[in-house]
Amino acid sequence: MYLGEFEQLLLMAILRLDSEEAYGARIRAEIEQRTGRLVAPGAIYTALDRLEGRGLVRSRLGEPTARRGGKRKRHYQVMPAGAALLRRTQEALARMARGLKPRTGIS
Amino acid sequence: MKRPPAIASALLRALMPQQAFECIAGDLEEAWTAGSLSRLRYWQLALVSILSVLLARFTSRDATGAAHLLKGDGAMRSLLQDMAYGARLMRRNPVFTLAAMVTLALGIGANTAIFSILHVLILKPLDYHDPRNVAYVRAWLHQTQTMRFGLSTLEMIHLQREASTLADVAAYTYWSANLTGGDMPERVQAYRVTANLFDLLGVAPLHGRTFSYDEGRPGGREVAVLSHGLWRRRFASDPSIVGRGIVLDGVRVTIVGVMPERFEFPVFNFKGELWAPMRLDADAVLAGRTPASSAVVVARVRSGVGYAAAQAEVDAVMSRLEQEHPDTNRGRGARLAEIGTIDDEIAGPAMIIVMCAVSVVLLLACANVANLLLARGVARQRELAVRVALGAGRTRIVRQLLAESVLLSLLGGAAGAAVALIGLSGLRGALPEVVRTTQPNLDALGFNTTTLAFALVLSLVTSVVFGLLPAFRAAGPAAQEALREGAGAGGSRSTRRLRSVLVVGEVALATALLVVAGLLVRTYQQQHRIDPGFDPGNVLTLTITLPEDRYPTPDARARFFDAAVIRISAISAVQAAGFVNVLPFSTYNRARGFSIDGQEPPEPGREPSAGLRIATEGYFDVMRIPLKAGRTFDTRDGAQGNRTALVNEALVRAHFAGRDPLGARLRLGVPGSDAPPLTIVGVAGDVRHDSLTERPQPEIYLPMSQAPPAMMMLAARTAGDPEAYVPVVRAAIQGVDPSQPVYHVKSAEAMVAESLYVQMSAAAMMSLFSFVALVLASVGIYGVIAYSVSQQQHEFGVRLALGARPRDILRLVMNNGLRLVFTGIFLGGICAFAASQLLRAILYGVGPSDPVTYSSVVALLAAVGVIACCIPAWRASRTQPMAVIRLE
Repeated sequence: MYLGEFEQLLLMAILRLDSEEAYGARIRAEIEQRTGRLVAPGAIYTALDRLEGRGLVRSRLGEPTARRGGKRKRHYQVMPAGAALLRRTQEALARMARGLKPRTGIS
Repeated sequence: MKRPPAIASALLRALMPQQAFECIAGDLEEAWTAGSLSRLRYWQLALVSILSVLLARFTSRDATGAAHLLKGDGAMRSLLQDMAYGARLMRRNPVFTLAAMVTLALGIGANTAIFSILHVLILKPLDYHDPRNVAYVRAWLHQTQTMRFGLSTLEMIHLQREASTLADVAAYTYWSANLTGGDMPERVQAYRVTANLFDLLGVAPLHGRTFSYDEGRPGGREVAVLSHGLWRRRFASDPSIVGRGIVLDGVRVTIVGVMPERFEFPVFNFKGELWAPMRLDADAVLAGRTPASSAVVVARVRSGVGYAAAQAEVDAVMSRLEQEHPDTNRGRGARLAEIGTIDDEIAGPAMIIVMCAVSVVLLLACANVANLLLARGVARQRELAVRVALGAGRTRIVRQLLAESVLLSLLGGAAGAAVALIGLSGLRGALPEVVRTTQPNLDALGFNTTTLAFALVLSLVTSVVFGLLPAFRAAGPAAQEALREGAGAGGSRSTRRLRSVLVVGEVALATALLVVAGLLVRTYQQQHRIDPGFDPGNVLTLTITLPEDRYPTPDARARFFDAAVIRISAISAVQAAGFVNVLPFSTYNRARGFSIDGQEPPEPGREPSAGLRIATEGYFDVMRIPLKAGRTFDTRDGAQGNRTALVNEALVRAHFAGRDPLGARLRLGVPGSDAPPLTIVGVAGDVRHDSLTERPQPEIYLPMSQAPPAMMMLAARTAGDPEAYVPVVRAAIQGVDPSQPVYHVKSAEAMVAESLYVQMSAAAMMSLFSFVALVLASVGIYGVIAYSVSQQQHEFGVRLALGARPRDILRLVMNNGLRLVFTGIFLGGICAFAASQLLRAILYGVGPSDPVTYSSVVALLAAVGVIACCIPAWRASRTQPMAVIRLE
């Protein structure tokens, strides 16, 4: 089974960020900056929770900060299984896209 | 530093497991602190988060999915469980459930319906590219401080070339053409538009193309673009229509394109069914070789510039034109107005009143449900006390009660959505023609995702509003006491006081709404009773425009209308028939300047003007416009004979102070014009033309034979319902010329009624709301009294056993109830008095403190209050003392 589009965005966002930075608000900002897509935190956590249930990511609780109104962060890390599945998904997409450049402009 | 929206945070905390709450609310607060979220965005993200977490919990019930964030900690059971428990309670208590749901359905339904209307009228953007930057450019006359839709083409070209803040400027004029060459000739709402209009709006055609630059210049090809509606109706959605020819006003025109279904233009006038290019040679107009003409102008403000900067540049261009062309442009400015907001000026104030009223209805519904919940909270005190005793925290209990409220309001919201749907479909059927043919976005009136989302959000917010107070109360310190006290007999005193306050508030709100509704209804009645100056009963009206190519001369036009009158009058059910160029309340009007021979020439700027009516002989008989002096037209007033005219009493009052107008001579046009003199042969009664409330304006009537226009309106008095005679009248006209279409077919009564449409719909809507408010308030009164009676049965039993008569009990209960009712009426009266001062501007014939309205509202509410109290009071007085005492 491959990853959904939103799941891929999440995994890539986590991989892009340092382990100290890979928590909800930064993941959200990363996706919004790169894709212009506005995502609700609730949607991020429900998806990440599902990924954690499949053993693709791991999370730990961080320190509370004043900017968060004293609420703790939850940091995420991509597990090897997650990285492997991400690669397989991307490869499958690339195979499907091969030869479509004249019609769609995808290279 | 601003704090994040507290209600949204509280909602998050209440509806989410602790861990998920910490992550989600923390992220939102972090973004809020960083300043990257607006309040609206914060709310939006919070609500979407709640929905997605709830949804995820609902769908991932299997134990294998980790879902540890969503499962919540040990002390917390899932929201769904709370809801399931709530559902069981609701099933066990169907009367409570039904009462709460009906109440919520009324409140949410009314609000959803009004939101849908507002959405169409104001909020929903038009289907153009970036519609916020598309603006009407209207003329502003500095001297009279008035707005005019028309701008001259000269002004338009200057704006187009000189205002760099405007990306483009286009113009259009109303055309209305006869479309022939099919089974039935018809009149289509056509517009002549500059070739760049469709590009300016940024809308591509569904089929074919729009106009080329050359087609918008003199000598361009005769082409046209069809609206989706006309294409479907007249050409059966034939995709091969592009390139085919049609005949418009006798000219062969090639169809080059079809617009998409959602495209509507213009937005305040009749919706266009067909567009053809307006021929404009900009250089010739600038050089003065071609005279400028009048047109309605639209512009696209360059994106990112803003209206203020664009308006400043438009002002600069217009004031330069004032200097360069003082003869035509002195005192003329121009104002930009966003195209979608053009109706707000008229509909705005009325919509605000309606919105306030409908919010009051929702508040009443919330108060009622809160009341019901409070009453039930009292009954559940023992259950909750046991829970607290077993270790449930206060927040835990509040959350459980809120979950029940959410369930209740979601059900109520679903029922409310159904109510709104039924209401809107009824409303759609009842819209008058003038609204249907002019109001854009009407197809969106009904059910769509936006309305559904509104109903959903409203339900959630409502559940918090009505659920929070009873929930805190039930989980409060009283809960612990309840266990100690044993069976609570009627709830704590403060709960009872709170419920009394809610009832007083409900009655007060209902009183205020009823007074406002009453004033609006009286206004409508007063206006309806105004004599328009003619008798619109059983009069059929329709409009005919003769095409230039078939009727080029005045004689030909006069022959057509004379023949049509003879044929229509020959129909046995038609008592009389006549034509006039402009019927009262037909929305057309044009004032013409005139002068009276032998009178002082007027000061510049104060030249007299009058509405010009051109009528056939029978017109005054058909309309029953009384003749006040002299005679009406007859065969003596032929084109070759004496040039004659009738004037109305308003003109006599204004220009013949005390002198006899008969025999006086007047000339049309500006003073000193060489127009032939017209002899006044009669004085007709005043007719109100644009609205029933405005004073009759001066009018001049000319006999049709002297100046037969191309467009005339028929008035035919029929023996019964005029609508029934449309086919025979149409056949009679087609008997004169089979290719001649008729349009705007309606009864004169409908035309007069449409002029009162705004007042009528405001009065009808307010009446409906206040009726709902009255029902809700009476249910509220009944609920509170009935509940306290049931709690006090023991006391009544003892009283009766000790010798009280049933009548005493009746009086006791009635006194308690009516005290609340009259306090509410009194407070509501004060509110209504304050609110109705704001209505002063739209009232007519009644003052804001109209004693009739106030006394009837008080009487009505008192009667409703007595009835609502009577039933429980009577039941209380019939208490069987022995049965109650034995129960203990």
